[in-house]
Amino acid sequence: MKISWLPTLAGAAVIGTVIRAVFFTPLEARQGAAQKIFYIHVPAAWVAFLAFFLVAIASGVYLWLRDPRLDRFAESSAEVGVVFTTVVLITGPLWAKPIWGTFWAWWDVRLVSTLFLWFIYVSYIVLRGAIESPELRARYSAVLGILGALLIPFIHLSVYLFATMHPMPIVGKPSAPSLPIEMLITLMLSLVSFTLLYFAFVRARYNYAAERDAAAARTDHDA
Amino acid sequence: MADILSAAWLIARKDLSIEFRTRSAFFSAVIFALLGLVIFYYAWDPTAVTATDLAPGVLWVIFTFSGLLGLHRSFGVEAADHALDGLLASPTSREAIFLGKAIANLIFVGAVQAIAIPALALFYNLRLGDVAGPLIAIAILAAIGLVAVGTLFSAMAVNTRLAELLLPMLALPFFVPIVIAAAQATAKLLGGRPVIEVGAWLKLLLAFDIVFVAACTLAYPFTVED
Amino acid sequence: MLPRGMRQPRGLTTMPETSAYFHAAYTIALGIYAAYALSIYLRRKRVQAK
Repeated sequence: MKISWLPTLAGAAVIGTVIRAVFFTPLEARQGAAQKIFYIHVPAAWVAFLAFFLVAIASGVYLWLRDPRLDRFAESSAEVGVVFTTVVLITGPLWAKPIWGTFWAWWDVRLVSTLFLWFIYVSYIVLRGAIESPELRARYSAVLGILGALLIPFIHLSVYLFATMHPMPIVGKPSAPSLPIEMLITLMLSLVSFTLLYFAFVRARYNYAAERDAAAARTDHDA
Repeated sequence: MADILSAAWLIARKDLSIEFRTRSAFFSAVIFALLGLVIFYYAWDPTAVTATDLAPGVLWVIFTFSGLLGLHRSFGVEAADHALDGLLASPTSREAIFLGKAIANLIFVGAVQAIAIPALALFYNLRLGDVAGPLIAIAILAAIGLVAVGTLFSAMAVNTRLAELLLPMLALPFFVPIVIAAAQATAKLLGGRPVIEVGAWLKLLLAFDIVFVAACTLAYPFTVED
Repeated sequence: MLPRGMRQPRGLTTMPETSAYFHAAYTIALGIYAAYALSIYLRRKRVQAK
């Protein structure tokens, strides 16, 4: 079997990052090992935003150019984005529990916004599955892909205003600028390798979609 | 622009007169809202939570769900006999069709609200007289956003296999900022806070309305091609 | 020369015991990515078999 370079590179980068994060990055004094969840939680959140941003771009350009490849890309990026969002939603509470004493923290604006993001793009996938005609499906999902991206700032702002108007005890998670250099390097590495993983996933998912559409076209032709 | 608005008004009048003659959707939405108000009252312990604390959440949750009932009918009524094809074949612009549908839905939702809010005051023993002005402003802003997004998704949902199941799933995430803003602003008003404190929420609702009325009007033509 | 990671503050008694959450988070996250990769692979196989 021929080896394709992108998945190989992405896999190696992710494994390397995890090894560095687990064995060769210092422990944080107040949070202990739980702080290392940072190195998978933050890149997953970044990739989710990247994925949904690219869905919106591809959707907008699709409505202009009507190239089915753009629709296939949006389909792939949305599904991969949902996978990364799921990881954010699982690792976030696992980090919050030892630090804040509760799995779900309504005052964590980013986590709560991510939950709504998950709902939007799961319904995007359901919408795709509910339409037979490929052309209609592409147009409808492009519309939802654009509106979904427009909605994100509103959700973030309303959740943020809610959290600031009902203050709850906030203990800071470490943020990037104050990180010691070893931790910062690990974070940067993890951002790069999970972004590579995103592109590897999207390419594989895109190829699947292309083969599926080609097979469907053959069946239609025979019939 | 004036052409679009007068065409939109014609379509809104058509929808409203259909609705006025049958009144089926309007009655079911009103009864649904009243039932919701009553049922929600029993979902809390009245000695632990006061009716004033309960009312804003109840009002806006019921508002979104009864809105969905009306929204689904909006394009469902055109699906029979392919009536929408006739509408699309007419020289009316697509934007005008969308705005007309949205105006009809706005009047529908507003009429349900006009019954549901006094009923809320009655059942939950609220004195709404002092805050009526700001409350009506919140209700109008919330209704515009809800109707803009809901009308577009109603147009899309009728053409899918899941139809009425899909509309709430598509629309509810978009109603999240509306419900949070409207419920929080209402809670402040009912809590006797000065109107100035709800300013941020009103601005959020206004921004939502501007962005989504524009976006949905521009997006609608893409959903009805060919 | 020791690798950088060997400078971990070993034996620090105030360190909270949070490694269970750390293990759970890494296992689940990497498990999800692996399962997703497998799901794409299986779907492609099924289409190619047609």
